[in-house]
Amino acid sequence: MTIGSLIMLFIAAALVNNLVLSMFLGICPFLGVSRKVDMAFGMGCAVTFVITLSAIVTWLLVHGVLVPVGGAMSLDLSFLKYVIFIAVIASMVQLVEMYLRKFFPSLYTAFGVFLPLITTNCAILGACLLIDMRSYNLVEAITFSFAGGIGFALAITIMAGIREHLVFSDIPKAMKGPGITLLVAAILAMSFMGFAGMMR
Amino acid sequence: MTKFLRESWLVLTMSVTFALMLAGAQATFGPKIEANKIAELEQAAVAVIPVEVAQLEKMSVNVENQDKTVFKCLDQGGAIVGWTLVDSDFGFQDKIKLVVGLSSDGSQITGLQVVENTETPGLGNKIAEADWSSQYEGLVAEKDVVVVKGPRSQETNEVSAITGATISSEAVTRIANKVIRQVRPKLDELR
Amino acid sequence: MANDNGNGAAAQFKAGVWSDNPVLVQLLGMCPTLAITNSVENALVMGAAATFVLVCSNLVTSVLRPLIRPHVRILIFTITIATFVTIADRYLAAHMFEVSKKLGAFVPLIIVNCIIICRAEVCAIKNGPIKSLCDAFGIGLGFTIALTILGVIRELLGSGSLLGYPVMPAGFEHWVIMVLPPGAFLTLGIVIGVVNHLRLRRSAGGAA
Repeated sequence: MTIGSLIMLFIAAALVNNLVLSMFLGICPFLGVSRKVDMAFGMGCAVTFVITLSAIVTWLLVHGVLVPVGGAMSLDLSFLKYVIFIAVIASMVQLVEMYLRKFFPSLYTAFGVFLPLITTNCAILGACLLIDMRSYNLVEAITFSFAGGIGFALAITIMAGIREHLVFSDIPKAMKGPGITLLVAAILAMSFMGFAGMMR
Repeated sequence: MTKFLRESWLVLTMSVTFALMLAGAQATFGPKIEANKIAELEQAAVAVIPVEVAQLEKMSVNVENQDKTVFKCLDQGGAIVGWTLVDSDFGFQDKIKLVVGLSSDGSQITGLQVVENTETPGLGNKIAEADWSSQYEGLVAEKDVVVVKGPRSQETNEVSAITGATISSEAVTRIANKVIRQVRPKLDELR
Repeated sequence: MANDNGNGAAAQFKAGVWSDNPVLVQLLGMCPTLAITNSVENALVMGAAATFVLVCSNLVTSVLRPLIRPHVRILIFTITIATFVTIADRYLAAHMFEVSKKLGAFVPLIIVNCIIICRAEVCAIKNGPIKSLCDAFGIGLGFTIALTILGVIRELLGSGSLLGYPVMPAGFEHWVIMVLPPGAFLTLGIVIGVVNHLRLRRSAGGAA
């Protein structure tokens, strides 16, 4: 685990294996919140924050509590992982909500219903699961989750920029909304595939 | 305290019930899952040894602060018929996991099989096909394997890259070379 | 979100499959729809797993509904769903190991699949067990059908096969893009467009 490998991990998580366009996580907010650039950017920042925090807490819980306690009782407690992960994520979102309501009320009202929706954002649970599956250490986990959040923010903001312009286009009625958004996402995904050779 | 219990007794009871259910599921399915994981690796480990392997002994060597898995392949009589090395590293898209078979004296590569990969379907993921990976059979383990575009020459330890998937082909060779270079010197300790 | 066209369990079932199809109409649960539909086998197994979780979760929620207080209901839904997803995930890892590896993290991701928590919130908490069960089966079937439609298109064009059996003629050049992310977005976008077109035509025809 060198600085070089961490940088590679960062680029891989943010660009090459972008959470939205390559790993299909966080599609629902990607389609739902990407109408305006400032909303999308705000959502991207909130998700980055929650994802990094959740990744740290779940990693600490798995390696600091579940594994030692399981070892002490000579049991494999990994079946409790999913329940614990989702409980942590739900609490994190709750904390962020309370924090925003107290210190940034304008941002809180701007987000409205989207904030609790971050709980069901598969990107967050997905990142925690991937970190666990790939057995990253804590530094790698932080890098991966932060990069994943940045990648998500990048994808959603680009999509919002495109959609703001699409409003002026003449789209067939049946394709308006999710239809055209998905086609744009297809082209975006293709362009992000171009990052693939960067790893070597 | 009583107010807390009155508000949350349902959540607590359900949590305990669910934890018990999950423990039951773990007890039922756990052993089979472990067996699946071991069987998968063992199947690949045996596939790269040309002779029939009656027994596999799983061992571990420490190279550069990492534990690498090595299988000691034994025949019916307990004699060593080969070694299987396991390693994984970044390929074109993501990590590639492979097993390399070495002859019992460690001088020849007896085979290679890619166990896990997420390379480009139709191009890079051809590294998992036996047609391609069988090129490694019979190559010399003391020297590095070299990837060439176009037809290869076995005398100089070469393998042909997949057309349109040079990076994936080079990645497999790089991983194989690395693990052979790291583990070969330690084989004597494991005999 | 869900409109109850007609009372009764049978209508609930039918609505889940067609008029309230979770993926194609309600636009929920898109992540697995895009991720694992590159083969029909994956699609069917994922649909079955999601239906199992949906049925169990709806049943538990519906049976316990007089006891569930409003402000803890999301928490209860979440732990119920997480438990049944873990059971489904363990079962698949034990008995269908190859498929479970291909589905990867998307089986545990059923926990945050909006479809399931939505049905608990909209249907199971308000209705009796029979109706909730029918709703669960209907939505589950609708989800599986949507997944399978995409799976068939993507596997046929991308790998030239169905369920692993080669179907397309030997000279057919695989559209590799279909099993890659852009192909997923493309297929889903077009399928939703087609479904929207049919729905618009039907409502326009009804109004005329």
